[in-house]
Amino acid sequence: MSEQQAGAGGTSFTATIALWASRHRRLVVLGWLVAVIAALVSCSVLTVDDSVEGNAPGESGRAFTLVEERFGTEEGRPDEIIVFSHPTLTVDDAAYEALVTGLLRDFRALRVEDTRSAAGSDVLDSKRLVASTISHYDIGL
Amino acid sequence: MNYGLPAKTRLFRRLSPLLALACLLVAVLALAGCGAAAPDVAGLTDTERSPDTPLVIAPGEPIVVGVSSALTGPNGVRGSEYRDGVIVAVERWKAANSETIAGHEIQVVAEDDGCTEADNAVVAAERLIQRSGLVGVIGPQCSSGVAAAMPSYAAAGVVTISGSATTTRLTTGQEEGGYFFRTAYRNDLEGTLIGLAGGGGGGLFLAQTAYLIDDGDTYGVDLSSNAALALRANGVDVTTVSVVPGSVDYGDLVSEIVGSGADFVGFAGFNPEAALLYRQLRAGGYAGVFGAGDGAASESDFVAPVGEAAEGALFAGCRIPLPADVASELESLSGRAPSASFTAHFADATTALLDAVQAVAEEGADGSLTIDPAELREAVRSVEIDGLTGALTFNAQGDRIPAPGVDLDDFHNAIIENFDPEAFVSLGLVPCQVQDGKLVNLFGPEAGTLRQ
Repeated sequence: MSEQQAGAGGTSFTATIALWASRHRRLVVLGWLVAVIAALVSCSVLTVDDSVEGNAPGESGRAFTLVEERFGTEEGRPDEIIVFSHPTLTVDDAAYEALVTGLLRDFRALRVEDTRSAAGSDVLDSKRLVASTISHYDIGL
Repeated sequence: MNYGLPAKTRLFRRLSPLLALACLLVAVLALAGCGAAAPDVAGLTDTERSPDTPLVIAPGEPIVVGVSSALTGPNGVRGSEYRDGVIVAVERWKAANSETIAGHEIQVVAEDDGCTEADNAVVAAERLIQRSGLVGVIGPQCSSGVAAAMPSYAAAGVVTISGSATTTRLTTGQEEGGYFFRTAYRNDLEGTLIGLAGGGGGGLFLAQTAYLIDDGDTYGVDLSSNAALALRANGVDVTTVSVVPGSVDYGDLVSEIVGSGADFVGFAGFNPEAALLYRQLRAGGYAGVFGAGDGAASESDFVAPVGEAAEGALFAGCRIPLPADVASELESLSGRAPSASFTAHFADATTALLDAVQAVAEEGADGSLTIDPAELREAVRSVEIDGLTGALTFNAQGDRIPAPGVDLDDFHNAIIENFDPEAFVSLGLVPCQVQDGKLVNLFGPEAGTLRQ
């Protein structure tokens, strides 16, 4: 039965729920709270088997797994392109290249830190954020 | 149609106390669900360190054991296992000695050094040196990283003990009183093992014509040149070739090798290059013996990707068998069975460092801890441990020796004269072969039998 048909002969199902909710507001809010609390408690109490992995099949899947394993997830997108320009230096200046080299070195020095307890010891892992950098100097030719 | 709903403003006025309560509850529950707070780990400081400046660890502050290994990238799996080897060694040391050193807890700080990426090893060194409470560093992982980072560590008076850097000159080129040590063996010793094996020593194989291929990196070139010397000394005709790290197509080289009639191909470098070269060699019709150095001896990075074709491949430096409880602890940390070549060497390096720290750390009246860098260096040099890789101490140059007073050159020469490659076991150096998808050691504890 469509809502339009119901409207013609009386109150639709959706409207009935809405009317009931508007008349039992405290009950609705309390019920929602109970549902949220139950969900949070069950999250912390129940153990979930999350070992299922949606890997792609075949060699491409294995390649993807290897890339994930080797380069982790901290890097976010694997490729970022940075266009560098300078207000006074030109691309063929040695100082320009030195600036770019230093910038890339600073990128490679970026780290993301993760602290945890492992086997009874406090452990800090400091992993690089940028796996590698490649520079290309566009001299306009 | 308004279905008799109350005015909007009136509705929200009535609901607002309930909504506020709900939001508060949700926020509290969400925070409670976040789990335990992250541990408070020693931070970075601006303190200048030098060999003449004693390290002072304030009361209540932790002792930091630094780790320099690859945590990401192509060598990240092995490097992470080495870090885990340090964590397990710290726990075992605490269980055998005390939970703390003079009341100071022990923390592990691991910096990602990229293994062969020298500039990353330098960044890792600079960050570790700035870490408050750092007593020493286990690493760097790769020889090129050691070569690049050693000046920084030496200038700061920070002891480093690598479990895996094998390039010969890292110690033979170091002045006495240097801050670098290693529990790993040297490439010239590993080269001799390959040379003796190629000459029929240990009953491994007998070569007449060999191709030795290196990856152009510090470690690969050194191992290849030492293996070439040893093979030639045993009458083998050797051709050496360098490839570029990251190469994927070895078609021309494979044709050259197959055409030469070589009966032994050795590779000095890392994976994936070793695995790629091996697959292409077999696909190209090469039927002789294939061997590689410690850098490629890996079940996860060589055997698994190559598959059944890997059966029979030989490696010169392989994993020392780990006690079941250590292997179990390592597996619980990473979720995978340990397979890297030098995990036991990293664990032994950690034990040596902690023994030395405990020997020289002076407790102040206020509970602080003072460590003199030169005293710590000498304490590391004289430490004697019966480790996972066997009994070890260090000589004046920082090399591992099996017992105090042993001259490593004399030891090496005796092995050559006696044609006895099995004696390398006492330096933690054992060969292995791929058998049924596993790396099986051919000498030492739990050794299997060579399959032809």
